[in-house]
Amino acid sequence: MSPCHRVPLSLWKAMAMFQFIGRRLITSIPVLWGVTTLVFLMMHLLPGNPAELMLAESGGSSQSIAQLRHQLGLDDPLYAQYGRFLVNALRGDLGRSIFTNRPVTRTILEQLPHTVQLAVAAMLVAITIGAALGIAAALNRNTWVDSLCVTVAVAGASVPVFWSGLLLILLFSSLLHWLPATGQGSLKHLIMPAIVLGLASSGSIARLVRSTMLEVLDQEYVTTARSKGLSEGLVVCRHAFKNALIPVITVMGLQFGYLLGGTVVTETVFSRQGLGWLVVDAILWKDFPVVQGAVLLAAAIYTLVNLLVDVSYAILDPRIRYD
Amino acid sequence: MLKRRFPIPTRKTIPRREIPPLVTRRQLRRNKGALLSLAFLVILTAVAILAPVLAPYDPLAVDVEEQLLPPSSEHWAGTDLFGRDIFSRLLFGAQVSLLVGVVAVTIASVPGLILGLIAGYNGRWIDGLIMRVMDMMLAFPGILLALSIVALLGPGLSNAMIAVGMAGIPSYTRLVRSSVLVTKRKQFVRAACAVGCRSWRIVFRHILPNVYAPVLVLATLDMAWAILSASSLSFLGLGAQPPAPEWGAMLNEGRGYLRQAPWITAAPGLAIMLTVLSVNLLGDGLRDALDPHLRTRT
Repeated sequence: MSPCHRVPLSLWKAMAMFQFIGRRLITSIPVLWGVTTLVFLMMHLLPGNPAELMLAESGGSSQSIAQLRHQLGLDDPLYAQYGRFLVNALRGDLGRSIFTNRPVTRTILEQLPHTVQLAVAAMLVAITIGAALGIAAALNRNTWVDSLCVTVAVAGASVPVFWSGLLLILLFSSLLHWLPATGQGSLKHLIMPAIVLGLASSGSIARLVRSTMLEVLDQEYVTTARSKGLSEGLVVCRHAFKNALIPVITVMGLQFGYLLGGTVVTETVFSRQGLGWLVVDAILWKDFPVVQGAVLLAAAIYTLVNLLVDVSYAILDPRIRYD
Repeated sequence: MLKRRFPIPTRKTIPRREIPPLVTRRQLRRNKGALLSLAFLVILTAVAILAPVLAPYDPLAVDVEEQLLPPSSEHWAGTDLFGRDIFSRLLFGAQVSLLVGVVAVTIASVPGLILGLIAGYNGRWIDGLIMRVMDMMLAFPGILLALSIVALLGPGLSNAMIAVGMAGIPSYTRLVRSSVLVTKRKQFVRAACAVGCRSWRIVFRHILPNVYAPVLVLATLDMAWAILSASSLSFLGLGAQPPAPEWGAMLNEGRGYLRQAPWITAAPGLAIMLTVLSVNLLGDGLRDALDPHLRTRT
């Protein structure tokens, strides 16, 4: 008799679930450590001395460059710098901005909510448009509607975010005066940036929804649902789309990374504050601690979102967690 | 003398193996979108090469008396803030965009292909090491990885191409590794091992020809991403620097004059969209043609 027969089935399922989450959490730790190491190595091993770059425009002498290197601790051995960086990062200390002298962690955490708000809103737009296009294409397989939906999806993914952003500003702000062109603070400020960013990522969701819906619509349980006399809407919503959603959730994790990157351009176009705006500003001002901290945090968020996606995937499809 | 009925094949008698074309003309003809895109890209490449002959004006020539002129018979796409002809700049911009796409894809695909072959064929700790590094690189959203590389190398078109290329390496490594893992278990590879072929010969002669089809599809789709990302970097002021006629940089220059002179942003935006759309449709067409599973499903 296997041990699982001695415990109630619901408890055994919950245990399997927690085991799965625990396993995934443990496997994310080396990735996060690796990401931290990679960011450190990139900043220290790639050609381009931060101290020289920072003083390049002011034409700093070799003495002032050496002084700045010492001040930043860049003249210490690499292992000492790495050890210091790792210990400080574990304590949540990512150093201080060279220009504002404020703690990098605090600066980033102030900007993070704006970026998360934009990324989540864009994700909702992407799912709504992508699912609608994908379902319409699958239900009208090999017709002009299918071709139109697929072309719109590919075109959506091909439009540069900065161009569609400028076109929307021209139309809805400059000509119609319906929405504010720049800034943030209200829902009206969020509409255009979310549409622009969401549209760019809706293309891949639409194509995935289309192909999974085509597979699901051929399944026997969909034929059974139809033969029971259910309306087509009910068959599509309750039986087909629910099952077609599982692979889409996996892609949503990857898309979140794309959206996180996309906010860099969107925030610049709409003059919004956020992580992307902070990174671009820091690169232009050569504020390396801020670039390092922001990139590290974005990668950590991306890793954690993918972890959450894996967990939700396991909740939706029990076969995953019992493997 | 005994004459063999079935003579033992020698190097001379073995017929040379005919390699079938990767994509047949019939498969491409069936996909009209891919065919149109291919035609557009061929024309664009010709225009980019012939830009010095075709451009009516010098793309860098400043003429303060012709500032912000709308499209006309003299200036087909209008002029910008410095009176430069936008149509001429667009033609030269095609050179930059196509160059960015090709160079970035080469920077991503060559190391990715080599690393994938090494990881997939050798296995063991080398595979583990390469794939863990790739996992870490994949943990960065692509454009952010490119941004951090640009931050270190400094703004500029060459650095933007390197950054965009480096951000693409992990996708190729993963794809090639998985294809190598499947191919190296096949009968013909085992046979090559059994007759004593050297490892490099097995990898380059027997495994590589069976891996390049998916790499070609990824490279095509990746080119669209590279063009978009490099133009995004130029738009942010981190890629091509003024007065270089790069489409993303041209859009950035027109940002401040959106109301007065919308043609400054319209022309380069449309050019980027059409180029990326064509590359995407061609990539989709190639994928459909090369993947029999997809062909039967749709």
